Amino acid sequence: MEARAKTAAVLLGVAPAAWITYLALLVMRADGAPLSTTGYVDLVLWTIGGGIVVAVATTLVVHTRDRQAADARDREIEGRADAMGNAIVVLGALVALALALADTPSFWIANALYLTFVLAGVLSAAARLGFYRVGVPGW
Amino acid sequence: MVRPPTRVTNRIRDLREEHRITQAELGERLGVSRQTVIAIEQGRYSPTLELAFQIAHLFDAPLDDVFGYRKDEP
Repeated sequence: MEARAKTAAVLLGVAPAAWITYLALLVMRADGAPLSTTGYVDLVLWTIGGGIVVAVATTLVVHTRDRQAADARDREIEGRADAMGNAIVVLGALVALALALADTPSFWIANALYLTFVLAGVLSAAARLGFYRVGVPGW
Repeated sequence: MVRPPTRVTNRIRDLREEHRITQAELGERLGVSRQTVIAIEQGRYSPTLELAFQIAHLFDAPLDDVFGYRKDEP
């Protein structure tokens, strides 16, 4: 498997793993109390931070072994996968905006945005992996 | 058989064999990875117009001799 495809495969698992860890820790901390009244900010920051560290470390390790610079195909795959992820970010931002306009507690707005990042990361990584494994469709 | 995601066809593999060039060597001359050469040969990636011209020039062949376009089949 190509280095960039390997990185995409790892990233496909990192974002959901960080989010599931966050949810598990949040539920444990709530201990039966409503989630929206449970402290969540540190958990969000730690799990997002941890996910970023794992993603950067994976990328560095994989690319240290395979020093091939990005070519036209890599850049096209990158661009298309990022565009797909960005579409999810836009949708998530609209949901967060609607929640804010409806005076929803910040817990739900923050969690909607966190879930948005996770879904965007998953879609982007899955698209990247698919383009490398199956091929890049014509426009 | 699974149809490749692109309709652009090519004779790169044949031309490469005629010129006794490996995928890695071709990639090196074009400034792309061996995997990209494989993806182009297998129809999993349509090269940019610039890359297509580079490939044709490298084999000293007209673009039409190297690349084709598969029409829609019923």
